[in-house]
Amino acid sequence: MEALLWFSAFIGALVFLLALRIPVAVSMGLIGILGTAIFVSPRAVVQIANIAYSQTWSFVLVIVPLFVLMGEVIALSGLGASLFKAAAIWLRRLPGGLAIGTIAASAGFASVCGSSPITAATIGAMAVPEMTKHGYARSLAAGATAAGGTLGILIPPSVPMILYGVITETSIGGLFLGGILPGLMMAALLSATVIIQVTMNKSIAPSITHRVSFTERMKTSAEALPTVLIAVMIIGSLYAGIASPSETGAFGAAAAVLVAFALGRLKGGVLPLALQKTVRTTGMFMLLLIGGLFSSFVLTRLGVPQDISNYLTELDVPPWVIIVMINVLLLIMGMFLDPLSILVIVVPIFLDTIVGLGYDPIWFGVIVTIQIEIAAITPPVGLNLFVLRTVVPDLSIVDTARGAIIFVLPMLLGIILLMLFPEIALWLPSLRF
Amino acid sequence: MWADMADSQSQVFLLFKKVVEGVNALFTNVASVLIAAIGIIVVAATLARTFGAPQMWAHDYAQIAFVYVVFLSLAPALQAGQHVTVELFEGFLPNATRRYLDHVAAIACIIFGAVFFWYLWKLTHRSFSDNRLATAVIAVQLKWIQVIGPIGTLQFVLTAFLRLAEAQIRFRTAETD
Repeated sequence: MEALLWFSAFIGALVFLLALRIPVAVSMGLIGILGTAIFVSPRAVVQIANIAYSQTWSFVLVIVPLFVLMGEVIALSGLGASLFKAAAIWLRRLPGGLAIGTIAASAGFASVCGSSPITAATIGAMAVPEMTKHGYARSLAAGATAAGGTLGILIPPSVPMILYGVITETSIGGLFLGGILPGLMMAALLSATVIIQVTMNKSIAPSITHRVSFTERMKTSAEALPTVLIAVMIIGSLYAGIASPSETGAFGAAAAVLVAFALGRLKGGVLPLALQKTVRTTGMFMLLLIGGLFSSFVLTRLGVPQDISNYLTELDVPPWVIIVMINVLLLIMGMFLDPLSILVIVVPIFLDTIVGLGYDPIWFGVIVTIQIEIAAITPPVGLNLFVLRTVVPDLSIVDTARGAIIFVLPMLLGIILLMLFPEIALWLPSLRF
Repeated sequence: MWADMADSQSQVFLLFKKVVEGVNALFTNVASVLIAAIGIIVVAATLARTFGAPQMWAHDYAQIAFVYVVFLSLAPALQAGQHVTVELFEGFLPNATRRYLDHVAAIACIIFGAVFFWYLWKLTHRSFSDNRLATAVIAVQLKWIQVIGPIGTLQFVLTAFLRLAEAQIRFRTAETD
């Protein structure tokens, strides 16, 4: 089959260029340039410039720097860490309470941050030392934090969902709403995994017996309140439809800056640093988007997605088997590629198939997001594992990976539940759109 | 004589590095200000709309600022090593080849950046030739929006050249050691 040959050649060329340490965006751009010049027309290479100008002239994508800025300000100002303190105090009596508190804090932080590594780094910098101080096994402490961090891209706002929405021309607001219930479900599944682990082996998370006064509880909760209010504002305005996702991003960023300023947390150059990091992340994101769209332009001109879609939809197997096959492919790719790269490589290839099989692009977007969450914690290229290693220097990558790998099971369970009950992802968007 | 040449090469390199990194710092600062401006514009426009005074121009200014942010951010992201790379596959390469990977990656960025620059320049040049207006509520010529494209990608190419030079210095230092 010709399409499969083209697809294999594309993947082969990509792996070859990546092996040469060439950035993913540049690799995809070079494949796009060569592919267009050879198989379409040398004059058609101008499409790369058309894509660049059309994508940058977009009010939808204005959301990217705004949500990245919001996450950076909340992370750098220490507002995010207060979420962990509050969650840990309220949940500490549960089996593995600090680990569950870490997951809950990550879920809370995820609703003001669209990035999985930033979530893992912000919560992990405080949570892992706290857990090890209370005698938690390092593998559980690191694993729960790495896994909790993945919620950053499922619960809105989510940078990968924005990328998915742009590539597939799916409503970003719809995707954000679609991620809320699966995100909460995933937080519950991850917490249940902690409880099961601790119930089976109590020594990995000793019970915490010391009492916390009511005053301290209230004080800690009050510190976390502004971040919770920003999260409620974002989700509320998305759900009520009173502001577009881009406008919500602007309000979120403004609220984060104002709250951090009011609480005296913007000292020491926090805001300039947050802005500089936002600039660099925006550059990385947009070049990846341009490179990805340009390489998928060549694949589309060669008829690859259409042929693969025809081939898969005509197979004499139930549609769910094809979905499982695509999920297995995503799982394997997740072990070797970073989350955003998987999105720009895989989604354009299989979107036609998904739509052809009658599935909803929002549902598939949520499934893909969970798959790239798994990618973030599976060695050897688990982004969250390395990020945690950076913010908690005495943590070994082996401990982190060993602790995180068990959390792949609840994530896969989450995908199975979403396949059985698509309404988990589609119910909220159906109320709004 | 060789020592003098090496010394003058080193001075040229240091000057080049200073200029490229200085421009990247400038780009980062300008882009930072523009991101802050986008936030302020969008918040103000949304509030104005909520109170019954929609400002149609606001989206245009935010979009123009975003175009500038994107192209200004490409080179600083490259300098910071922010563009995602995958090191896993390097293991498949022979040891002798791995020593040149930084060179290869920098050259690939130069080639990509040069082609990207050329086509952005072609479109931008056309906008300068016909002075057409952008598709926007405000009357702004497309050339003033697109002009940042070639500038940003040219700086991306220069940053890639800097990375190539730095790779060569690291290579020579390792050889000497």
